[in-house]
Amino acid sequence: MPYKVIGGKATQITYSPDEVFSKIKHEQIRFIDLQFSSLLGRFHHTTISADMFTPEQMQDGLPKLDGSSIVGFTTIDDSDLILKPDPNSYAVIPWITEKKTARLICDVYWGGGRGRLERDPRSIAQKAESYLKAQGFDYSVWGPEVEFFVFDKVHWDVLTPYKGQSYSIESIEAPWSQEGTGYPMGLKEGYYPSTPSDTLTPFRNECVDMLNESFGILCDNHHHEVATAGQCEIDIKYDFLTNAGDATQTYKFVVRNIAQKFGKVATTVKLLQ
Amino acid sequence: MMPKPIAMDAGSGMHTNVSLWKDEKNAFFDESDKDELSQVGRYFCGGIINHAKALSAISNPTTNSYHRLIPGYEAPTYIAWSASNRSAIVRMPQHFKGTKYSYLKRLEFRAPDPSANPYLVFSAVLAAGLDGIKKKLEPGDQVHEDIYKMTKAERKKRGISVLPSSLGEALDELESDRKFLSPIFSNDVIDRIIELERKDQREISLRPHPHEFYLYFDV
Repeated sequence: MPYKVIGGKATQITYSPDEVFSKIKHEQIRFIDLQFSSLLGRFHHTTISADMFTPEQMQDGLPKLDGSSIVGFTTIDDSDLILKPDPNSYAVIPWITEKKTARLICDVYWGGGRGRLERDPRSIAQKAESYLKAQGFDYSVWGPEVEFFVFDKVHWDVLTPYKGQSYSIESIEAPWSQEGTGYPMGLKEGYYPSTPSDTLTPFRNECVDMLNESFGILCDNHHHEVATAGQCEIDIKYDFLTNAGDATQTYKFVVRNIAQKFGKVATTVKLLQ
Repeated sequence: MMPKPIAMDAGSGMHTNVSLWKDEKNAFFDESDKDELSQVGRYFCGGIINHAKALSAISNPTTNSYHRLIPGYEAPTYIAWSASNRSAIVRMPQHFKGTKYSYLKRLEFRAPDPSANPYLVFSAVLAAGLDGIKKKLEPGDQVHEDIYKMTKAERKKRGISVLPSSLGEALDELESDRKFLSPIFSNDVIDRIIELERKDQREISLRPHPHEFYLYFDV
């Protein structure tokens, strides 16, 4: 990523730092979202003012990260980290309509010129790609098929485990729904049902549009999956290893944010820390 | 993305398709093989099969992951490979054949779920596959029958083992089989992954499950 379909063919696009700065100006970007992932994969961001963003920062990185507050990164006594943006990951975040914002995925470095933070999962992916080359291959190609649920509401009561714990799931599609306005889908009967049983077609159309148009992650197909209560799959184009990791993280980012825009919630794992 | 939020229904997976390329050619494709899979592809598959238990700790890194990896819901549980068998963990999709479609030749690793960190999953699968190529690990015979229907004795005879049934078990497997990761993952990173996941596992083991009240309240 990013890719663009040019004359019916998926073509990879690259951006130089200069091109990113001219896009920021031309597209009247006000804020830059610097994104990265924790060791176990939670997506994080910090936002900088676009006016203050300089070519030097693009090249050397920004001293903007306290690694001790990111799960799996660093201890509190050695926590100054650098975020170095990858110009190729530039994309305007389309659902932020006021104060236009673009994102850049970052590589994480130790402060003080001590090189790459090995606990940055993107650095592990990059190391995997160079190890593959050392083994005599040119590259690997990855196609993840990510499935997820979109619920209307999820409630949980887990903060007083001594008293008791519970969760409950609400979905207009579910056979247990008491709304009285849905077309209930039985357990394991969710594969490819047509509308109106499948209530999430507009949601998935919107996700695919944004992935294609704004993030350059090409999707050729989306559908309801086997489970009831809003299980979905969107197929994204296969890609090189680190790119496929970026694309998967971006896919989850888009799905969660668009679900929220539709007044729903996409299943995210809440790590217990 | 939580893999198994709904009891008694299918969970969410992140089937991971992979191929290796050299000189603009798919190294997994070999027209002369019955299944059009090259020897490199077979060894790569052998690496995944061989390290599947340890890989689970990275491809299925939450306690919830193991609610998905049970028989009966299209999720894989047995460590085997096959062209089209959805009960096996590695599959070779074959919608199309021939040189024209050689670019589509790939292995589909069906264990991963979307609670995993994609950067780590792809890197760990690559490490396992490259270890297979390096050590010429054969994946064994393909299994065409529905493994769910085999008896334990039959599975044993065919050398089919099962994936870990809990996060704790997967972490034990990773602790005893982690060397294959070392060209890509530092020891510190593996230690940290194990430490963080053990923490979640402990959080869950501390708490009684609501269904235990149904089973055991009057025990």
